Amino acid sequence: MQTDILLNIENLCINIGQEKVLKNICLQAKRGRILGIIGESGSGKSTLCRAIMQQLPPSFQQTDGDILFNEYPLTKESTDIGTAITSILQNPMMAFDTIQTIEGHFFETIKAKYKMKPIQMRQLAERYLEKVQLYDTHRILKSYPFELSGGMLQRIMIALALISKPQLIIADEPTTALDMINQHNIVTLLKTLQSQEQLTILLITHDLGVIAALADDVAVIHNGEIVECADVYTCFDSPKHAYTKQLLEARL
Amino acid sequence: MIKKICLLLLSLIGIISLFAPWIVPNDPYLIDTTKRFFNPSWQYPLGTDHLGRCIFSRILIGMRYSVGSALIIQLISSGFSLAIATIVTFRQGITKKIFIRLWDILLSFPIIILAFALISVFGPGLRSVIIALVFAQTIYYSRIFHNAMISLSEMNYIKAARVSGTTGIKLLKTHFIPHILPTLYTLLSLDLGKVILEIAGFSFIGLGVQAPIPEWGMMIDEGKQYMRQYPALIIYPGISIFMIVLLLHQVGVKKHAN
Amino acid sequence: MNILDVKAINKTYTKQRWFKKNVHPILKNVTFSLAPGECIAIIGKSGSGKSTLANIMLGIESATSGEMIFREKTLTKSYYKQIRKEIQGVFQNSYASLNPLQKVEDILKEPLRNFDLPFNKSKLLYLLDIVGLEPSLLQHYPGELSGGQQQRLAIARAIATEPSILILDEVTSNLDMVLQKKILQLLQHLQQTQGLSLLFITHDIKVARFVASRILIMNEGEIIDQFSKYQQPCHSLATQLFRAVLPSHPSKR
Repeated sequence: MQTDILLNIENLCINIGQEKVLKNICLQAKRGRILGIIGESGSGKSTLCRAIMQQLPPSFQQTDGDILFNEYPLTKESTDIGTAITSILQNPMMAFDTIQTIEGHFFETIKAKYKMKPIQMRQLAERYLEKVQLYDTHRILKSYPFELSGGMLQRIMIALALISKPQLIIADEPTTALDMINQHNIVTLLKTLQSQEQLTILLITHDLGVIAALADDVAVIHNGEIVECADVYTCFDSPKHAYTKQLLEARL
Repeated sequence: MIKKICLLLLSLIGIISLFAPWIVPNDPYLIDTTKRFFNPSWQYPLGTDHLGRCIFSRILIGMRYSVGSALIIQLISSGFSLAIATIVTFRQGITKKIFIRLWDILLSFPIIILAFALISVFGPGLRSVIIALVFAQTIYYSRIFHNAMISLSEMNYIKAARVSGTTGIKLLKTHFIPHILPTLYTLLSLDLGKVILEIAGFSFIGLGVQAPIPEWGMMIDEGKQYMRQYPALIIYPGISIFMIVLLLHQVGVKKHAN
Repeated sequence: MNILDVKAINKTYTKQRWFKKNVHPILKNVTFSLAPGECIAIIGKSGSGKSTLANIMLGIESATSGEMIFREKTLTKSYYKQIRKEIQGVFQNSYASLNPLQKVEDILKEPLRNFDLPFNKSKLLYLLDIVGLEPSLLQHYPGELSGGQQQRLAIARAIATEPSILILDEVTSNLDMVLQKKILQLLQHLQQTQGLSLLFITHDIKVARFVASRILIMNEGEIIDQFSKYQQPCHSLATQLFRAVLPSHPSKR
């Protein structure tokens, strides 16, 4: 059933004990568009990301609301997570298993969805490495994560996220741990891939520049609430909420 | 809660051992062969040993030797280790290299062997045991403190303090020592029990305290030949060692958890 | 007259393994000047040696060769001891640069005590006021303050001795946008009211362009380009860096 809205979050409320971390979050990620969620640290954006991926620690309780993916509610048991929904995480240097080669990482991800012989898996891995503009595929596949730079690891993470042909990619601060040049490269790469593969991306960041560069729609999160939700031009040109205006004024 | 009780008990023990010579019911050294192996009574609360000496009095006096010596050893070795660690941390070059190699070599021997070597030089007796154990503990602690100081010196607030003009002793006092103290307390209390056992062990094999000093290990050594008929001679000192080590562990562990 | 002249600073790190000597150059021939009241920025990615340069200028590390001239007098170790209070610094991770076991009060008193300056309560309150912190924070510990408050405290400590030069090593790298701008505005304000010369070390071009009047680009220990705020860089690496700035509006994609 093809609908326009791929991910629908309705009135999501998450608490730790008595403290409200997310209050009545309503968000919609539309197919083929990039939804950027911007907020400062402590605003609840990481909690939101983990809630969607069903990876909240036990102390977090979802007290209300639904997360609907293709109109079906997402739960911990959903098989969509990891296949139809994949993620790109913040610190690429920490996100890999240090004792497994890149090839090992690819095989693990591919095996979760496809049944292939090692040779086929290797070819698939090489094809996706080239998609993320890494051309030294032999060397990279044989390397361990610590032998590669942050920028390369982030590209590999993107390749891994793409390989299961997901419908939705959740990018949690993908550029925060990178230096300026790598940031720019990853942003350009994501833009190219999105138009090539018609991806739907949920992009979480604290940097307005990343939003300006990539997002089609913007949601501003502040103190656990969505204070503004509009397309990117409306958000930048006619912000409604005071916090959004504050963010825009904080641009250098 | 438990920690408070243990601390209370330990302080009580401390006070008792301080005043032991005045509160013992009988002379711990008085030999009276007519009163051998008495059962516990009002006169002799834990009975008498193979030489007619009051066991209870000996245990009380022995407390001073076992616990007191251990405390002295720990305090002296902490002082030395801090000093050595400071010097090695802040002196570049040859001194540092020598000490690191020295530590590696000395620490690869079990402490007991090391202590043996030292006792063979100084001869048996309580003083030798103390010197040997101070030496062994100092080597062990100074490396720990050195490592702690090295990791501390990488901290940004040390850098910031130096920029603010704090140098030398002041730097140590305000920024290093307060962060090392928790480690020190933990080591001191946890190892106190270990040291008591080591002293007792040395006395047991005859290398430490000599007769007639009522050190607990010594008492066990003397009483072991009568184990079958009169196990009391080794049970009471044994339990005393056990109790103190247990209390110390409780205090040490809890402090660490804090 | 320049307040600080850095001339041909070299720093090499020598590792000796038995008979083989490994020489790693960290800084190569670094030369630049700082005029009184000026704010310059040094941009470089991590590993370019900028933090080492900051350490050398703050007197924490010593250069292998080269010299620094402060107010037209060469900085020797003894001269440095005299003028140390004139060159102060703020570091990147504000929480890590504050001793967690020291109260705010003592943190501020420390530099004042070291240089025999008055450290009465009114002075401390004045310092807190300049950086926008409440007086009630004096009795708190750094761990009880927010990230922004910690950074302000670090700045207050740095200006306590009324220095002429303030060296800022990536002070806003970990901060959110709103906080970053507030701290940068505070530093600009301090520069104007206290007549400070600022040396900003950062990897973010936007920050550099916002605060500095002159920009230096560092790469692998060398200064590869120097230009004023309104000029364009010449060196290819610098141009690459400038092109890597993210847009400020979606229309500029």
